[in-house]
Amino acid sequence: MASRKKALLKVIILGDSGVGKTSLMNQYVNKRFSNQYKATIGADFLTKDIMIDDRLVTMQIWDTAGQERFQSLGVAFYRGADCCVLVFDVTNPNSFKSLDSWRDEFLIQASPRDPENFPFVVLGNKIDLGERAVSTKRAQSWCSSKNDIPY
Amino acid sequence: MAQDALPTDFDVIVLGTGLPESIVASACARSGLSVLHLDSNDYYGSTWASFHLKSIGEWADEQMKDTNGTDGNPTADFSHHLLPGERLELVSPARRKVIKNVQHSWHVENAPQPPAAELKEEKTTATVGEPNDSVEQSSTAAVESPTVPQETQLAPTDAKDPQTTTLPSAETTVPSAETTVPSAETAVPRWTRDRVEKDWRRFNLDLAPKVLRARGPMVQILCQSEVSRYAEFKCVDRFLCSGEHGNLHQVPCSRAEIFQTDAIGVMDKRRLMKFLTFALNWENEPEEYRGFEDKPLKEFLESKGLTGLLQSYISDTIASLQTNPNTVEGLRAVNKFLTSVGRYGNSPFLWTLYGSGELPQCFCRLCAVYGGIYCLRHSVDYLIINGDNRCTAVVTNGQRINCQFLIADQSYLPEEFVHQRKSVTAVQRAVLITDRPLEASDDKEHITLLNLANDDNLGTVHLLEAGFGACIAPKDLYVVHLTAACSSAYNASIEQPLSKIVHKYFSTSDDVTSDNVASLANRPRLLWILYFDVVTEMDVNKETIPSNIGVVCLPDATLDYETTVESAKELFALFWPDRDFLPFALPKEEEDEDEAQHEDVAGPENTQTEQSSTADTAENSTEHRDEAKAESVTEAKSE
Repeated sequence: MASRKKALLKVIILGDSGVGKTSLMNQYVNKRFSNQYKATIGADFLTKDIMIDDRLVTMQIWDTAGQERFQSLGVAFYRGADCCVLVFDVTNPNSFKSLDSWRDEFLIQASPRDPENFPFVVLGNKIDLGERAVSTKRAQSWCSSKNDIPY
Repeated sequence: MAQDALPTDFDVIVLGTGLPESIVASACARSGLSVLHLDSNDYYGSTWASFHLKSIGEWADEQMKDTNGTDGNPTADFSHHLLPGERLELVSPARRKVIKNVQHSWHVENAPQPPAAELKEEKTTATVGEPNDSVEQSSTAAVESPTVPQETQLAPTDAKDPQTTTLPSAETTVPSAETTVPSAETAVPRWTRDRVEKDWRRFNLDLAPKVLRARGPMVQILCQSEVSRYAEFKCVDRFLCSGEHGNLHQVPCSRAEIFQTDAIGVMDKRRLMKFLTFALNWENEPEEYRGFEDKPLKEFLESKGLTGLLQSYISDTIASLQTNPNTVEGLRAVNKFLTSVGRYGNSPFLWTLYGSGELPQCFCRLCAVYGGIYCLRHSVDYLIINGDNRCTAVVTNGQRINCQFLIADQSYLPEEFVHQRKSVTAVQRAVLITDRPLEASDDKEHITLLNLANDDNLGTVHLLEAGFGACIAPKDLYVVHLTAACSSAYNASIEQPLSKIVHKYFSTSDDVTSDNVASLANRPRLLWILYFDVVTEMDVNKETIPSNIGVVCLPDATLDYETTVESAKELFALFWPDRDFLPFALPKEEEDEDEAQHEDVAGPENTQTEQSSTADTAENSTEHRDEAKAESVTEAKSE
């Protein structure tokens, strides 16, 4: 069981609507970017195989399917997540402020075995837009306050 | 988490996130309709939900509240929302509680000392010569266990507890005196309320526990819609039946199990095999059961020399999809059971990991993936009905939202559209937390099904038991679900009839005295219990209800999802006869191509194109999907 679990990792992406969770996922997996925004329709999860230390690992990246828009993500979404990516929009300070609640929400819903050391990753999206409202420094200090989440 | 405003027009509005309405919602979104799915609760699942230990307590308290008149009418005036010819119908879910008779209680005390002292070690009784530490143990213990005589094994109590993370070798921690003569004190495991509550999150307690038949319609729609990717399943791998003296016997289900069992003799094995072989092909051999068609299955079995335990095997377990079947119904049920064995292992049934409440959420996710919009914590104040008696809109949080069709469970219906039922039907439920499995016979953890047929007018009572392996309880604890249909003489005031069964198979702290410790020690000990009834007192009033409102069913007492899925299918076919119900998903490559095309056609019509293409794909079914899914489910199960 242990080996299988490692071969398939469930990664979930959380963040306010409009921060670019779906784009991020598409960019990462398909190297594709679409300029226009539509609230997520049709995005489910994508898988990507990567080699880590000579082992083939299948990453299953789960999108929220838009259910976060009205704070209606069900607990089933969080089941068995191995990693959680918290996304904010560097041009939108509110989306950064929400990270706290997303992280708490994740810890409550997914109740990982070791909440202190659960692998979170924080991503500041849309740095290309040039109207940066959340500085790198601010983001980094938040991350270090949460047990050194990588940024 | 900023909140957007809701759009104002939808094809379909669905009220309540129970399983059938979620299935319908996903089917609608899948076929290109725009769907808004509202639920007044802050959780998914309505009466089909699963809860952890804290929230089920809150749920129970909520249900017990006397809500008569407390909810009041919304004070704001919504008449400005109305178009000419329309009227408002007040929705007041509080007045139609479907959950009645709720009781929950603890049967263990809080620890007198700090629980850490209690946690040190847990001695299981050795009176039957079998330890019951059947749960997967921490790695240290697993390494040790082969070297330890079975009677002296220790169940590690809590893997998270720092005291037990470095579990010492089992040999050194067992005082030899205790292993041979278990005293009263050690025979009763020292679970305390604190200890159970500490792991409250690890519980997933179902309001409507059901299993999936491997060749039933639920598995079929899960596979073809690919909703099966959102959940994991395990086989129900142990079937028990109640023998003549109230003993429990394990029922062999597959050919291999029948050959291996020691419980029945060679002749009986042959008779049983012969019967099961016949049942696989019963429809083509009508001469075999001629004259018995309408007689009880029991009589037919007797004529085949299947008596006693063999008969219990067949009528209580294998034909368990039917209550009191006649021969034809019984054979059909046996056939269904047998044909489902082998698809995902030696069992016809699958259990949803993390509880049955996952399934509504999975269908909701599918709906969301196809554009459905989800709003929990949105109660509906009014329905708006027009002059042609069609529901044109709902009012939620003061906003008018238009719809072509409305799907709802009955608690969302205005008073005018329902009438009192003459005969009340009810499903009686009990949820138990226990400290060990029933009839612990080997060291493997099971998901167990036991049918108790015809116990005192109750009809068939289904008992489902599962634990850590099914992701519904912390390690070393078990959850037992009892479900009984109570059709005619339901009377909310009578004492819980299920409590008889509880007292027959489980022991509570009150039962244990120094005299009967030996006889009770064997039984699982009841730590916590919840009783409730799901009561249907209302019927849809077909004369007054608008024709575009579809009403879905409440959870019934059947074991599998067949009736639920069929009713959802019927409802969908009634409203959208020309659309496919959850058709096979597009093969991946085509989907990608589609998307690529859309990107070229940048522009506002993009969403439109996508919607129509979704509808087109409806026909596009591929058979290999089914197989692929079958594999993945098998994988999930074998973990």
